[in-house]
Amino acid sequence: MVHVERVGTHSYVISPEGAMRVPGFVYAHESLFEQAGHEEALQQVANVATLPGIVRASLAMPDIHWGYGFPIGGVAAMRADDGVVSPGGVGFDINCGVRLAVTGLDDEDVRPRAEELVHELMRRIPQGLNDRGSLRLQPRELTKLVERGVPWLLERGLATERDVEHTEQNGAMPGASAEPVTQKAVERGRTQVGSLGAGNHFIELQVVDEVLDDAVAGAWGVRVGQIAVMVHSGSRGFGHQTCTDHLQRMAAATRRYGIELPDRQLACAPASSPEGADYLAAMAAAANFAFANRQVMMHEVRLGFEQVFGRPWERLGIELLYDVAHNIAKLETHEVDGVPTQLWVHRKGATRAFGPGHPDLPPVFRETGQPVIIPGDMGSESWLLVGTEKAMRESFGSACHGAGRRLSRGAAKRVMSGADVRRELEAKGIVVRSQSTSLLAEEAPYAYKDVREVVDVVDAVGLARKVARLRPLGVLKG
Amino acid sequence: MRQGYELVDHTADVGVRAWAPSPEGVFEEAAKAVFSLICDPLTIDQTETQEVRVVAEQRDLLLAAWLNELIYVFEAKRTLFVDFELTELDDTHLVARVTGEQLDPSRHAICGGVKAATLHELSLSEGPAGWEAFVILDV
Repeated sequence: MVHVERVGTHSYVISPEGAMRVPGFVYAHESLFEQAGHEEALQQVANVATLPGIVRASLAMPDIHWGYGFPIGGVAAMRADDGVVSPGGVGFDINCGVRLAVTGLDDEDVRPRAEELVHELMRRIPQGLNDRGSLRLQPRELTKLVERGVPWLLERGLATERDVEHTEQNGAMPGASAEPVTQKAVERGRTQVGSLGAGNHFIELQVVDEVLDDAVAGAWGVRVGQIAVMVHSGSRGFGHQTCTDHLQRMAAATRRYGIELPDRQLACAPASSPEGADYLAAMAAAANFAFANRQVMMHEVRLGFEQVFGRPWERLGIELLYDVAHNIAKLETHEVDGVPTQLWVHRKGATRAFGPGHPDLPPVFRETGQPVIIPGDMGSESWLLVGTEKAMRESFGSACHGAGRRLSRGAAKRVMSGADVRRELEAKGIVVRSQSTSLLAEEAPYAYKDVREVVDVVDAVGLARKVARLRPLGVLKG
Repeated sequence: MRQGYELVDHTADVGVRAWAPSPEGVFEEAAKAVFSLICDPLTIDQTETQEVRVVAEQRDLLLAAWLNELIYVFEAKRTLFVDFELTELDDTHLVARVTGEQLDPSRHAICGGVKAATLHELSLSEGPAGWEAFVILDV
């Protein structure tokens, strides 16, 4: 078991022991230590600290929980010149992420039609294992999509210039290549662009419940009573297969590079090695797939609103606020011991949270800091935060990504049936639709930590600041 | 029970424990566990059989690679499997005959998806009571 020392109200340090190259640093509410699986999660923070080239510390955000390899909520940065990259530090769902679109509609416009709207979205956007997305692509077109990302959709009339600008990395990862992507990944993903997937993925119709930072919310066009739409999904089978294939190749390479690992799911290779470079190019392609997937779903959301309200989406004011990745590795420059250093920042269940002034942000967010979108558990609240200077100094510009699971899927299903979960949510006035009722039980609100506790810690330690709270009117689950 | 599997709780994912008198039996049970998470096996008919070949660096990695191959075939070819028979198995390769049918959304109620078999806490070993394996699935 690792030795954990409390160093602040919400801060804990794991001192380097054994093969750890740097300390572990955990931002958490003290309730973490009552959570099932917390010892394993903290051990995972220590394991990540053994990876070659890691700088400063192996970090964990307040929604930390036991994952495979990296903890979920883990952030680790490795030197680009002599450090490693690890597919396990990104996860199988490469660029799982979330986007928030705001609208010109109000609560009272939408509430009477919420059921009709959710039904329309369900009809348009495939969920669960029904994976025939709305965009049918020839293999050559899929190559263009994964190499060029959302800007390619702009040419096809499925995105606007603003959509591109309001997506992390402009929806196009540098270095993305279809070359190191296997035929298997192509076969799994080819029909899935514009599909939601299963598990914790969802589309929610939300209303802005409270604004906590008027200046930032004003700059972003966010106001109380406004309707918003949140989309949470990833790179589907394309990304899952890409991780599987490269993890297998890297598991063999790790030994060849003389790297000793406490957990094989941490399999890694130098970023500059053939295995590392191929993984990074394929990961970037899968990340573009995910950005495009969420974009195509948002396009369908716009068309669904048009259908229900009988007006063009532009007149309904449906605009993308931002799209953020929370399972990804990015090449970024951060100060290490006072020296700007190029790093591969792995965010495994963590959101980029760049503060004001960062050159990678579009002008509106360069003023305020970037939006940090935190989905809550099904049927409870979600949060909009803003990145800070402190995150740039302390966490490689990163913050939490969600509520974090508290109960396993099996344990959640033993508490209540999916039908009962749906009835409870509908009693609160939330329309819920899903292909699978057992999934509703697995994803029930009590299966997750209280998102407010997670957001409170992030706000208190200053990695991101609260801007607005949103509550759901309708949920479409995978 | 001499041969079987159980699903084990893991916070964000699902663990599978499989046991059998032979390593072939363990591979077969683990595959049954994966498809039990996707669809009710009682609703899957045995109308088509395919041969699956898998290679890996060592035997426990071969177990993960076998499950990942089945997940790929299911998703890419839309085929559900219910019966698995290993005809060849050594430390680095296997050949299997897998039987099931094409996914038919009108008859198959899908329980959930499986993204991949992970290498975290992956194990395959022989004990006094036979062979046993443990693998965590990302679901």
